[in-house]
Amino acid sequence: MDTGKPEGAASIIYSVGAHICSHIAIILSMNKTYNSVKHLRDEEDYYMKSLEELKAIREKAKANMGIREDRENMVRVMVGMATCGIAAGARPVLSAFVNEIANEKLDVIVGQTGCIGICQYEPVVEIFEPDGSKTTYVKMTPERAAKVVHRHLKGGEIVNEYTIGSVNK
Amino acid sequence: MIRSHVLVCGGTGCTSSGCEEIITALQENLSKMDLAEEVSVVKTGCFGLCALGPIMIVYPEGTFYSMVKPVDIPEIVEEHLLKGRIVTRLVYDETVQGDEITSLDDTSFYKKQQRVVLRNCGVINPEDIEEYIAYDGYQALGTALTEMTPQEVIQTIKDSGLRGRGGGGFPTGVKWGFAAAQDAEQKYVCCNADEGDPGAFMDRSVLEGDPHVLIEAMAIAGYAIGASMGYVYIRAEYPIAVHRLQIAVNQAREMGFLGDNIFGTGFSFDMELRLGAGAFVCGEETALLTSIEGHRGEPRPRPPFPAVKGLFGMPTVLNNVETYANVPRIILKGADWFASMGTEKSKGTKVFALGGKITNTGLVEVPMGTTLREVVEEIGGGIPGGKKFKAAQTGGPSGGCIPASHLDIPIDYDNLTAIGSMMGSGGLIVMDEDNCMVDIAKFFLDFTVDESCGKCAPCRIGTKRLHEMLDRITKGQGKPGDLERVENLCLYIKENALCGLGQTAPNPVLSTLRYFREEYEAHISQKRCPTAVCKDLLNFTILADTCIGCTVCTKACPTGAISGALKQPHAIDQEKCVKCGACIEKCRFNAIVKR
Repeated sequence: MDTGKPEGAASIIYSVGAHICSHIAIILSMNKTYNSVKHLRDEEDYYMKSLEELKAIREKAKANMGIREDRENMVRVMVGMATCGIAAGARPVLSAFVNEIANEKLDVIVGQTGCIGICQYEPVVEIFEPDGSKTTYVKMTPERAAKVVHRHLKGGEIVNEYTIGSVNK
Repeated sequence: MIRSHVLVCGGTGCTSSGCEEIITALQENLSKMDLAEEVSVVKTGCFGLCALGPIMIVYPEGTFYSMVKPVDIPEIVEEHLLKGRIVTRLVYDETVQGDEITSLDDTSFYKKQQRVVLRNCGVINPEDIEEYIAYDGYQALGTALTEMTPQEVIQTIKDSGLRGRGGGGFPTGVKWGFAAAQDAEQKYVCCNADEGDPGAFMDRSVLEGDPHVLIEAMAIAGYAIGASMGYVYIRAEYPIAVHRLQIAVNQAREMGFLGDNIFGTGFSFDMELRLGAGAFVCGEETALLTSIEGHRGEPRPRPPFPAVKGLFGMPTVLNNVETYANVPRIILKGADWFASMGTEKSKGTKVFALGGKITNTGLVEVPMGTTLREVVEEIGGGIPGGKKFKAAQTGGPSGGCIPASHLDIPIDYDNLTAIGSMMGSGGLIVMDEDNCMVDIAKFFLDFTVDESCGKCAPCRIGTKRLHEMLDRITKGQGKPGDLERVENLCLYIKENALCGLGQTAPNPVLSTLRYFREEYEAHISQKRCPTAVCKDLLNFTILADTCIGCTVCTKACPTGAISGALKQPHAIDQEKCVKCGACIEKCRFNAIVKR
């Protein structure tokens, strides 16, 4: 059906312009706590033309809401955030993990845990894999966190020199 | 990167308990702890467990915090969101088993529920269309438009066995079939979001928590019957629902789910809201359509039915919010999936608003066929204070009560009608041994008398006379023969009233008479209210063996009805007593009783 829209490059300008106007109207009437999936609004061709386009939006939106699902088959990065951990500097380690994982766009849960007992080795980070195995990294720093993200989470290779097993050597 | 979502219930119930302050406190504390980039706060619709609001769920753990107050927020943010230590004292106690926090789905409130209509409520942000899309939103509309013919859509709804959830229980597919068969240049799809039943808030929660499901369903209905325009008649007393539905309509238009050439198929559909103005009768289908047309909301005789001649004289489908909320899921998962739930003649699930004397007040959704006992004792958590169950009222002012002898009845349309009640829209008020059934019947009649539009004599005059009779009975002025007169009048009104309001107004009276006739008779012949509720029949008496003669009550009585010397048992003069209860409040020895 002909909607009267101009073709080609002009149509991009037209649709961007239409988006801006409607976005202003929406933002003026919307609630401030909605902030999770705003980036999707900058897409072109926002006007739904087919089931395939709908499915594409669904996949993107679902990824952002994945945190609310039951995620038993996920890699979990648990940063020790008890008093001993925080005193030893776990907060910057947590931030480093969060930022690096975001940059690499990895599908991983980042959480915090309490004191597991080896306070002298804090900051401690434990990584749990879906197959049940666990890696315990000790004396972590933001720099080490970045390395773990790249080599272990992305590359699949445990960074042995940071694990608890390597400490006494 | 966002590593945690905090979902806060933003339904009307929790809003009036202060969830907005909680959200503000969350945002402030998250900024203070430098967590705003890692934790996202999402306002959702109603979770259902309204008795424990304000409610908050933290993901990925799934921790369910209940009865949260703004002063608790700094602790939750620092302990849980920053350090990962769950604040156990604020967690819903049924999920705390020793050292472990178990899943919400295992609690007695949620275990037997099957959330189909309410599947997105409390899970998504209702003001964000993308969250609706993430959970299969608008998929059904796309499928229907691109892969099914209108006839196939209607057949699917027919095969599913979906019946009207507004109370009538008419097969939805059949209604759509009638409208589709009409030849007209303009047809309409309307939604009854008036929800006038006192105590009912099922539709409100769907509108506040998942407004897009209604939009999608109405568009599907429009495709099925050949309508290009829809109206949602929503009561003005639901400001949050109106606000969210309007936002949803705007977002749907922006993304092309409403408007011209939806999904590029040539089908066009748009919709608008129409606000009610406080009349219960406008929940009746013909009165509702008359109101949308701009006239005073008054019903008209049927036939012709709205599917043939409705809004502006055109073929119109009018369905309840909950009925529509089932449609997209049926299209996506198939008629057989829906028909696999429920009983033989009542398929699917039903949402109930539990209220009255029950521990877990809130919203529940159960498959048809669940027994009333399961709903009251297991899901509802039983009657507080150890009191005995007396009756449950379903269907509000149009429905009847179900006594304890029928507690094991499987809930479905036909079973409830057979025992003198009806499914109604889903309001379920539980009553215990301290409720007077005559008073309850009078209460519902108060409501219907007020709401009668006045067009037909049986309702306008009949309900008023009925109310007067009940009023006399509760004041101790009942005469022999009154019960027969009441029954005759009820049957007359039922048979002759023009619309459902009048036809069902006598139901509470008839069903309480059927199961609690002895209470009525006590009021009339013994001038006594067995549950000590009807004030004019109460005598306040001082127990001579318990009274120590302290004279505190004598001073408290506003009419000087109590007499007695110091240290001697006192007595109340019934002629002067106005039954205000001040003496009972002041007596520290429980020496004064009502009977």
